[in-house]
Amino acid sequence: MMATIPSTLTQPWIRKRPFGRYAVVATVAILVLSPLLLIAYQSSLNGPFFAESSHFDTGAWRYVLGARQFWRAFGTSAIVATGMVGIGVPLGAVLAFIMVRTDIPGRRILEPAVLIPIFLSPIVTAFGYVVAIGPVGFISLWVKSLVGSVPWNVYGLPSLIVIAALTHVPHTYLYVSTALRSVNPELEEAARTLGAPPWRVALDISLPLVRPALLFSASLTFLLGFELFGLPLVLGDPAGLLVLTTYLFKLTTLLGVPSYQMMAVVALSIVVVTLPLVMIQRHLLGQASRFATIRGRGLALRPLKLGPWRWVALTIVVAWLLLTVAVPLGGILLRSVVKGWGEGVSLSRVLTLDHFRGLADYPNLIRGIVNTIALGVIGGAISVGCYLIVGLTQHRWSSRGVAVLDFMVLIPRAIPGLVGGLAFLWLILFIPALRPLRDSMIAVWMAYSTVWLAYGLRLISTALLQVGPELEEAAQTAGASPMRVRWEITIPLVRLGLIGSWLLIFMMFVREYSTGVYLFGAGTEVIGSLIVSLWGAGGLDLIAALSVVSVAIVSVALATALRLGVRLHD
Amino acid sequence: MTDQTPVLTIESVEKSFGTTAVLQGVSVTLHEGEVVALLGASGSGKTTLLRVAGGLERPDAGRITIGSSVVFDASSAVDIPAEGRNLGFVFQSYALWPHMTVAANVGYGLRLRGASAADREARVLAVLERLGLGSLGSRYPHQLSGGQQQRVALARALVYEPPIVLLDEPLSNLDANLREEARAWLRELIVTLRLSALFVTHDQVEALAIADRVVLLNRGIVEQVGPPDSLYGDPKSLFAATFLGSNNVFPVTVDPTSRQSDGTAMVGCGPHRIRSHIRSSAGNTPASMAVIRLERVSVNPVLNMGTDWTTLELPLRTSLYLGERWEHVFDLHGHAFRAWGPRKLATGTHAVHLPVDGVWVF
Repeated sequence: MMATIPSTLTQPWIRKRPFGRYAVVATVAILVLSPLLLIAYQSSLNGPFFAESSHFDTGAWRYVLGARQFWRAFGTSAIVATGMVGIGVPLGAVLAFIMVRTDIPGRRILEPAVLIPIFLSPIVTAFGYVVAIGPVGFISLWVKSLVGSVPWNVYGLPSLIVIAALTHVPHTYLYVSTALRSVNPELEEAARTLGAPPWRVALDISLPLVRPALLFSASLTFLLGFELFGLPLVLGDPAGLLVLTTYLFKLTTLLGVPSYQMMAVVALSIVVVTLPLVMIQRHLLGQASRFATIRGRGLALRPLKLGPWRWVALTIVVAWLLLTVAVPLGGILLRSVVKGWGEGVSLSRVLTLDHFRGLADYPNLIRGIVNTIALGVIGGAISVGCYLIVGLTQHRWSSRGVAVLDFMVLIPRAIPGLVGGLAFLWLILFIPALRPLRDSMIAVWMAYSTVWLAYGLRLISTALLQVGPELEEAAQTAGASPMRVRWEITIPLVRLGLIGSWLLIFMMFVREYSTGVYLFGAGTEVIGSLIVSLWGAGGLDLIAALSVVSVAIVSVALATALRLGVRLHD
Repeated sequence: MTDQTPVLTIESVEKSFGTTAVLQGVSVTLHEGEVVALLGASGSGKTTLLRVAGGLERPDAGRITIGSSVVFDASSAVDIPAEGRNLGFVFQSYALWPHMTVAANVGYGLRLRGASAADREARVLAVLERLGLGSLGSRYPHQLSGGQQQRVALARALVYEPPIVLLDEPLSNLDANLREEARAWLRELIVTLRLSALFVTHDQVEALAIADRVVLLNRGIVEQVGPPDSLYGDPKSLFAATFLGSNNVFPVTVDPTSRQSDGTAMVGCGPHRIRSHIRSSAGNTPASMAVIRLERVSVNPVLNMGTDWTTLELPLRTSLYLGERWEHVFDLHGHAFRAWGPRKLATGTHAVHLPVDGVWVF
């Protein structure tokens, strides 16, 4: 006799309306739209939104759009972004082709190294360049001792464009290399059997096949060019060069009085440029996935043999790594252990660890380091949890809600961290219930989580897509409710992906600097915003020490991620 | 039809991927105007051999000669890359470039060879016409049917008139009904254009139908080479015999005393005694395997049987209806023994006739 199995399942099997899912969509919409709407609202007032006397007025718009300085900043942003595309995208495409399709020596070591700039804080990188190749930088003085003068100027438009382009090469590299990997090798082999040498294969077949990825990279680089803040703040500002973000940041100083409506107008005008770019990217990404060709059988493909040219290829990659990673990082490291630097100073005399000891003299700096780590570890984990909830909401749900959610998630990508931080500050001031959050890390965490929503969600959905639908369907047909399927099947299966996402979010939160600038206050310091404010005050010693701490934290996380085999990109 | 000038000579080629030896000293010769099939199961090394010939894979040892020039020689470190071998290569996936039109795909080889635009256009049109694709030049690959894509891939490989064409499973991506048509079409095309072609297939019917000679590969070794009819009718090994056709294979013991000068001997399978052909030295050991093709077995024939036949009384296990015929499964001392027949059989025991020259013992 068999044991009796209950003939009915323990729970009543009624198809409910997915209220939970709708609630998530609504929450995301509120979180994403309210800061933006508040900025839009503020931009049409004649005073601060919280002042009783403020009323509707187009004066701020007329003033800003009539200001020459605004248009100059706008033009500079456009030039920088265009220059970044012009230099960074071809270089990124060449790097991707070299790394993915040729027999370049030392690929194993070079591959993760190429991605390092993504994890470096731009403000740290910018500072690194100043102390390495600035007017009295280590390399500048060394070159001066050789040739008598410094043949470059780190401040100003040309160097800003070049440095911004070099540091944004990994974005193009990521998308183009992923696309190149999905190209069926037979398509390239076919060209070779017809008589095409390697460089013609690259020009005629491989790169045209990844054209959507190239276009996507170009629009992404252009977008990032408009959102640039740390590099122009450090490299442009001293030369009197303003881009839109630094113009926004300096607006209070420029006008002499804090002007909410003007800030709102400038913030909104950045979003007016970036939002269409994000929409274009969404379209391009859809095209890119359609374009992807199915890979042939798992053949060991013979990489293109470059012969003696492989040393040329290696030189290109190493030269870029030296310029983009070694120079700024070396600069910071060196600057953090010397008392001062100038012509004729000998290194052994000025070596010191005082700057690191100095950090301990400032409670706010120590608090900043602790806050940064806590924000990354605890805040990052909670953020991943939130992204997971949003990801699961989208997961295997065919409804108009998914389209709405898709759209909502894109919006933060168009909002530079500086603007996002500003919007959250205002939101907290605007909503009385949120006011206690002012000067708390919760406010900072909320702003960070929203600004990084699109990135985090992409990590999560990449992991969720790995789960075969039949694994979930099997549980469902066995009688598990949708909730139980998620809890007992889906989430355990994406465990490793979640840990990887946590590490990557941790790094992004540690690296982030601009979102915290407006939320910066006693008790809410983070390393990034501390560096920005110290830069204003000229505390080079402390900036160097803080930068090294920040790089060290990211390095530990990066090493852990590589050790665990976390994919650094989707 | 074929003269004896070799256009492609592959000598003692070896290739390993890691610790797996995929080719273990394979030699194949392709003569001018000849069609040779590389036939084998998956993992036999046939595709690797084709890629080695095309320069897409570098062998560990051996020598490859195209026409009179050596394109690979492990001993003298000669290795002409794929683009320098001037071959036509047709890929299994067709590998048509999705970003180019049909005409651009086909004309690419001419462009690389510096043909003028007018010349290119004329020759592309001519080859497209020849392959029945005349009006499709401005289309993109994804707008074509599978059969059309296959012909474009062929056109691309033929347009610059390479001395040799290499084809990797040229028909495997086609639908079953289309494949039979394409088989005849491809054979006719290769013969009328007087091409020298080496093609890979896992489909024995395709190999036998299209090729002048078949190279049967087994785990990186050439098992047998010959014209299709000799490969099918005169296999030299148990592998060759069982790889082709539909067969009954059963263990037998050879009675050495019954051996005759014509190569026949009596073999036993349980209580049954069968006169058969001893095909190889394997016949010297008492325990051997007997093979008979299904079409050689006849059940209850109306013919008057002579001494060239063995008749067995076998009980019928079951019958399967296959459409154009029946397949009957008999019991041969515990082994399933299959035969084809035109009609259903009654249950019980039937007379099963085996021709002496149809039963091969290895």
